[in-house]
Amino acid sequence: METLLYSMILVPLALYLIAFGYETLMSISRLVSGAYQHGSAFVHATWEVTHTLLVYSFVIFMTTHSTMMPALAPIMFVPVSIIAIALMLRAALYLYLFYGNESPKAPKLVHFLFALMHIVPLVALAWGGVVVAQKINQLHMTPNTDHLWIVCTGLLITLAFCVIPLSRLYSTFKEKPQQPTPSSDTEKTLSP
Amino acid sequence: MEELNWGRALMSDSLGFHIIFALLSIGVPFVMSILELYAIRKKSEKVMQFVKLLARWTVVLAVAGVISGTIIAFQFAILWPHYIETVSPAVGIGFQLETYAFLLEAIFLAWYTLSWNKVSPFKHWLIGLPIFIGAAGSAVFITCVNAFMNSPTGIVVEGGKIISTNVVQALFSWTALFEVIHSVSGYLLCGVLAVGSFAAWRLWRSKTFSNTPVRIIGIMSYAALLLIGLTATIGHFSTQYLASNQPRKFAAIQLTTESYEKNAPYRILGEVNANGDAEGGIVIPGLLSFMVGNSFDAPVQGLKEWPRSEWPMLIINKIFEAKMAIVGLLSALVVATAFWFWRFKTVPKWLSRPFIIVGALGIIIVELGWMITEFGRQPYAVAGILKTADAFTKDNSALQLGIIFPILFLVLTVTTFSALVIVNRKWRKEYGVDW
Repeated sequence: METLLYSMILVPLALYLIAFGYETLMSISRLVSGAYQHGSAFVHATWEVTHTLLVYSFVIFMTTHSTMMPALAPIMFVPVSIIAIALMLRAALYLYLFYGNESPKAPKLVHFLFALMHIVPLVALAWGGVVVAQKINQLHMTPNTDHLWIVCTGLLITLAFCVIPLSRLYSTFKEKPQQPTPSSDTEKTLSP
Repeated sequence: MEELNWGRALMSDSLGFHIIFALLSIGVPFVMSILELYAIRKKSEKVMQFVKLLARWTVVLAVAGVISGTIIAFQFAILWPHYIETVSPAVGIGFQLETYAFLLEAIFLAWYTLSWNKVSPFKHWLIGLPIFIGAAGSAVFITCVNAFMNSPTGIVVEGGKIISTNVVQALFSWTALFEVIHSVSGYLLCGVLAVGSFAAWRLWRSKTFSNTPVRIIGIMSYAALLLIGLTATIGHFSTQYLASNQPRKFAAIQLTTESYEKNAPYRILGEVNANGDAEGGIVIPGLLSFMVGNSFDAPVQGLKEWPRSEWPMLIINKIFEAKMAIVGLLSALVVATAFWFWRFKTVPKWLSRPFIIVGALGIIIVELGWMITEFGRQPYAVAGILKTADAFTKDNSALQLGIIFPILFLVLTVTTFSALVIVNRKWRKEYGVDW
């Protein structure tokens, strides 16, 4: 059961790291290639869905290691806070650069900060992972797997629902738009 | 105590910001689905253009909502580890199931955004439904956890520790039912009011008259009327349930210090003096008993049945009265607008101008409601089991970085709403919308 539990924590985390790694590379390449100057080479907002993998992993970890949390919280505090701060700044910068800024010509410093706010959480995540793993090893406590069957069932049901959009996402992205159907809007003039 | 109050302030600040993104992430997709179906049935290109704007809002709100939710999860772990230790055996499942609903919402949002004009309109509408279902689902599960905190059930407690649990009873209690229906209908109402508010704003700001924002205001006022009815009805039954299930919180909300066998009075704008007696304000004899038990003979427990140290923050009485005043104002405006649109198929300026503020009023009502329920449970984090002081981390250095979070949340909120303004501007330019 512990193997299953740690698979459910580490596999989504690994997927998140791959996805976030891609975002990180894109943010660095924008700077290096100068693509930021014409507002191109960015990750579509729908990519934010991958961040749900981080929340999922963290919540499963937190709730199944609840008896260890009082011991883990002090050592987690700094790396988790750094991740939190960096991800919040990243989100704010993302919204500013790709939605809140009417010109692609945001200062290079802003793009540099955006790239930095990808690297910082990766480093902090590695740091946090190492110290937490060391502490769990020292504590000799076992995680709570009592309700793991409910968590697994929920995961299977969710994946069953998500398999259709997941399979269609890539092909939908590549398809060309259809012609819109004609409108029957008539603008009725009513007195204001 | 100072560190505890800092921790409380930090958590309530984070939750206060997060709830704005969360409720709009539920309400806006709900409105988006309604209007998209309307546009398909009426073959209205103008309304469909507006739906595209709402889709962009949903994406922007999702970006902010994902990160604010992530921060909340982090704060639970690093600031309130004893809370996590206490509740996880009973309702840790609720946190986990919330992430599944969240995943569902996010994936379908991605597909919905990318499949515009690439699938049939009806199929596109179907793809959009799970966005709202997933968002509402995550709210349902986390509200169930909150209901457990307010009224723990399905557990056996020994020595302050939960030693056995029935997860289904713990998560899906009567308290959860009332909280979920009342809060989710409130979030839907906020989404409806936010959209109506935006249309009213654009109607005021545009140089040429357009019927589209008038239609949107009208439809939103109908939807708001239904949702106000639902929220108020469940709010009434919820209050009756609260009086029996959480009498300490109820007594604080109503500022009832004495217990009554019958004919408990309803007091508005009262105060509690140094002796712990409620005084002043407007007193309506018997009304509180009637509201609680549908009879003037219904008993009501007063705060004096508990030691003073166990009294919740009495400010929740003032928050409740402010909330009810705003609800009254909002309801009057919505009823008037809905009636006028139904009767005359238009919305006059003297209604459409005030309608601009309904979006903000809805959000304020939700914030005040959550303050009432959270402050009203104090000094407990889990009622009767775990005090907030005991739930907090013992690591005092935890607060040294804390001040950064309110600042960052403010930055995120300002950036999000600025992004929404720019998105609106770009949308009007792209579709040649003149309102």
